[in-house]
Amino acid sequence: MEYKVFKRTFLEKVEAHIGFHPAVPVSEHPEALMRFLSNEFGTPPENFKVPEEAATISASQHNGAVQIEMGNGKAVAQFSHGRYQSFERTMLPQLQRIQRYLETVEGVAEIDRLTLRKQNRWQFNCEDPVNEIASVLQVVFKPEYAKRLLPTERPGDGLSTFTISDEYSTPLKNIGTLAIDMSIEVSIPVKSLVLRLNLAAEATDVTTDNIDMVAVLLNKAIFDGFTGAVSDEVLNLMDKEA
Amino acid sequence: MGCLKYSLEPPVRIDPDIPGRSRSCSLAVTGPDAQIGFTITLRDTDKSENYEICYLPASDEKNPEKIILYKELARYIRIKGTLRKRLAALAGLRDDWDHYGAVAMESASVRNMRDLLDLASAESLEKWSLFASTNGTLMLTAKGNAVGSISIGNDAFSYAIMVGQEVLSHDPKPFNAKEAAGLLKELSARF
Repeated sequence: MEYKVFKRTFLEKVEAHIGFHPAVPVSEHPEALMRFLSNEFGTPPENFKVPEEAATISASQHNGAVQIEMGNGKAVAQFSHGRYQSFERTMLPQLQRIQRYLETVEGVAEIDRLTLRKQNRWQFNCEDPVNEIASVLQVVFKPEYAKRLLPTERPGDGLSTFTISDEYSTPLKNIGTLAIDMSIEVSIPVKSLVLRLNLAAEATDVTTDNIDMVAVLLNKAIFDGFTGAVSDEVLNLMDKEA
Repeated sequence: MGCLKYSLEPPVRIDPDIPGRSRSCSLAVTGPDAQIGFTITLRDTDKSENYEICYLPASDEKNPEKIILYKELARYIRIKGTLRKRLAALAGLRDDWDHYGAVAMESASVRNMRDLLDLASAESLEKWSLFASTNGTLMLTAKGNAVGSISIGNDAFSYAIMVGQEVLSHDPKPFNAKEAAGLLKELSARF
């Protein structure tokens, strides 16, 4: 399927993780950090100094849309569900901010690892969740994926909560790997049924100035993994105007 | 927006010393409600937005768009679930279930219908009702503006349906769940 931004999603969480070395606290680069903060967020007051004990710096938007943390050999950007609009509008600007941090504060020319992770979640409440497993799986996933989570026999009466999961990874040519982790959690007492589809695309040894470009490719790999696993019906629903 | 507010109170949080691990703490760029000790409120100069801590729990309940999306999804699940349960009930019918000598459902026909229900989209299945035939096979009968049915047998399937003045039909051909699901979608789009 050609890449597109869905109008509605079942995303629970979106994350980007970057690993680099050396892993040193941000307090090792106080002047560069001050310049970075000044450029990204505005000039700090005169009496502001980076504490000697500071290991990482984290920033969060007041509406919870973005949380980023940088320093000590890692950089993480997290986006809560409902706040994530698209890779281009939400993720990319923060990755480019991290890219600037790595270049100007850490002076890192190459990172060890870049991972994009998208977690999708479907929760259903029903009187008899065990009886609904097949219908739910068949509506949400494509047949070959639904079969992966379908119990071979009805769970025993003594079982009140159980999870069936399946995971596998596939190489991405010239980029890295895509890991797909899917599961169904059934709780009879709570009368709930939760499906999860987590996709993580990872690239290693990426030059810092290429982070955004590689991230675009990883995001496309996650898109392909998602659209390959989720039923056409759900994809059509996601494409409809709210 | 006013000028930037940089507050150095309360002091930086120091994680407790853990043997074998280095002492560390976080410099957090957060807002006044933050859980993390060191608080600075900063502005994203590109977007003119304040940055602060405000974690949103993973709950869909208050998101109206998600509620609508789930309602649509639940409808699809209900359609499939209803037909699956109906098939299970029909599969349990015994000989002479109609008191006129009808035979019990053939297991191969039941299996074929189950495969078809697995593959067919809920949106197309919504337009059909599931019935047993007296000869032990099964059929999907059109609802609404169309008249006719798709018969699913042990080895073959066929259909005859009238939509408006148009009659669509096909003699029995070897059963293939994927082909039958495609046909169902095609026919459903017509009414």
